[in-house]
Amino acid sequence: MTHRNFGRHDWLGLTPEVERFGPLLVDRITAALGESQDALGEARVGALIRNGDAAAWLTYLGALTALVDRGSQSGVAVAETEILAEILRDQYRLAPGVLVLSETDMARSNHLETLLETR
Amino acid sequence: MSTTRRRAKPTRAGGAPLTLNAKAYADPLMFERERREIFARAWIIAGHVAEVREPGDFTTTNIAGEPVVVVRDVDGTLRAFSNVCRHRAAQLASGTGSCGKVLRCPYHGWTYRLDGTLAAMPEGRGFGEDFDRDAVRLPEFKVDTLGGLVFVSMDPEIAPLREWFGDIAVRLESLNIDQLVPVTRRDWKPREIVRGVPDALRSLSLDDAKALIPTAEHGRWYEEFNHNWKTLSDNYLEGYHVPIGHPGLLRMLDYPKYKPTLYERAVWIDGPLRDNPSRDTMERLYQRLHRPMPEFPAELRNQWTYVHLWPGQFIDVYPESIDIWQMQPLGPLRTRTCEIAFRSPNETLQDRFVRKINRRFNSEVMDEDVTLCDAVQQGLGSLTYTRGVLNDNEAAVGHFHDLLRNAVPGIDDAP
Repeated sequence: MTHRNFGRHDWLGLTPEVERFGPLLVDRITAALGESQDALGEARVGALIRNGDAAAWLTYLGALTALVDRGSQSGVAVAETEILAEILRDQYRLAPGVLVLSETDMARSNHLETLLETR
Repeated sequence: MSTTRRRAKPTRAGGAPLTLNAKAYADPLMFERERREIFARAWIIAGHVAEVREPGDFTTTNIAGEPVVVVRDVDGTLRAFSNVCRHRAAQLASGTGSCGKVLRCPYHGWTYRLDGTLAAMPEGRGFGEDFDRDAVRLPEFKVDTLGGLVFVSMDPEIAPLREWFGDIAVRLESLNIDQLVPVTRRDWKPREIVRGVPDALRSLSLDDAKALIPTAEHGRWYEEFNHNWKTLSDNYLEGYHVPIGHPGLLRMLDYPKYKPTLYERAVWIDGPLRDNPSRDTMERLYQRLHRPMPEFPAELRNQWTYVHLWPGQFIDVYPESIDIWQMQPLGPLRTRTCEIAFRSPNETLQDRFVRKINRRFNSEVMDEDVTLCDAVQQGLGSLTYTRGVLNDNEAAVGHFHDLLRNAVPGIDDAP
């Protein structure tokens, strides 16, 4: 019996929706929060896809999840925050099909599920 | 509504039972009915319990043309689903293995939880806000285990597995298949075969040894035949042709004691082995070296046993291994067979070698059977032959045909 070995590049299958919507949502949420946009911008997503790996991607998702938290706590850019939360929730739902989630990632996943259930 | 009842065709000529109408062996409409009314309404073997022991473990099969995946859910529940993605119909899983916590479609990445619900799909926003992803789930089928084997049925109304198979269930359990392990490609090591063989066969070259090794895919051997599945099944079910078609088998089996016992949806055939040494070197070697697996039931140690489970599942019970041979009809004149072999986890090199001799021996029997079935399938297309009669030694064929008549009304009615 063989156990599933995730391909080294399988995680790239997760990225399109984040690449398409993430930067714009991040721009709007950070602007509403009065934060700098540089650290989470479009160039960073592109760089991650070109040069990153699964761990870097999960780190990035973690940073976006923290942004969702800040947005939802401050009550600004509500619609954008909710959409980003949905996209991230799906990322964590899809991720077990291509990589192993750490406990930290699982906690982020559960947090997003709860956040969206109680909105 | 008409109250006219169709008169059933006679099923006996004098005292002898009649075979099924020959037209049923090549009719495309009958093939479709058999898939829906027989295979989709039966309990079908999907694998071995060891293949789905841990959460995430899965095994796959095909029932009535439906790809099926059996998976152990994260809470320990054994589940069976359609192995077809609800997006664009790609098969989700193949072979056996572990899928972790989700089943992920290899085509577009739709990802299902192990309870069959859709977890998420990549670029999910592209399906629009009105798309109800919570309504998407893999169709679920019945699944249960018996005697170390995992069975699946697509029929939601089918009787519980044990009840459905009736008295044969206890005999299946007595085979202790749950204590055996599936044979995989890794079990066949040619150098070990050469090193492990007795002196008489040390001259076997590595190439000759390799030729004994069948190709296995995740512990399954697949073959396709240009025969109707019932032609192959009929042939398996009777020993009447053994003296004519299988001289080697006649030397091994004590033919007069070859005896089928009929069950409601099964047949158990006892084939005692002869005590006298065969004239053939390989057969004699088998007779001398074979010894039953430690897990093997004592009462079957001096015989080969053949078991038929309705509709098209056959179990060869040898003292050193147990082979399951399943029919997967692909068309009226095309049948794929799937074989799963089991061995003792405590198998020695000698046992392995004996198992290999048996495999080679029974491959020859299979070649002989294919030739016979070729001839039968050709004959069944005859304009001058409709049906034949059955000998006492073909009682299991008659039983099989009666089951077919009950399952598919009208199967005998073609002109």
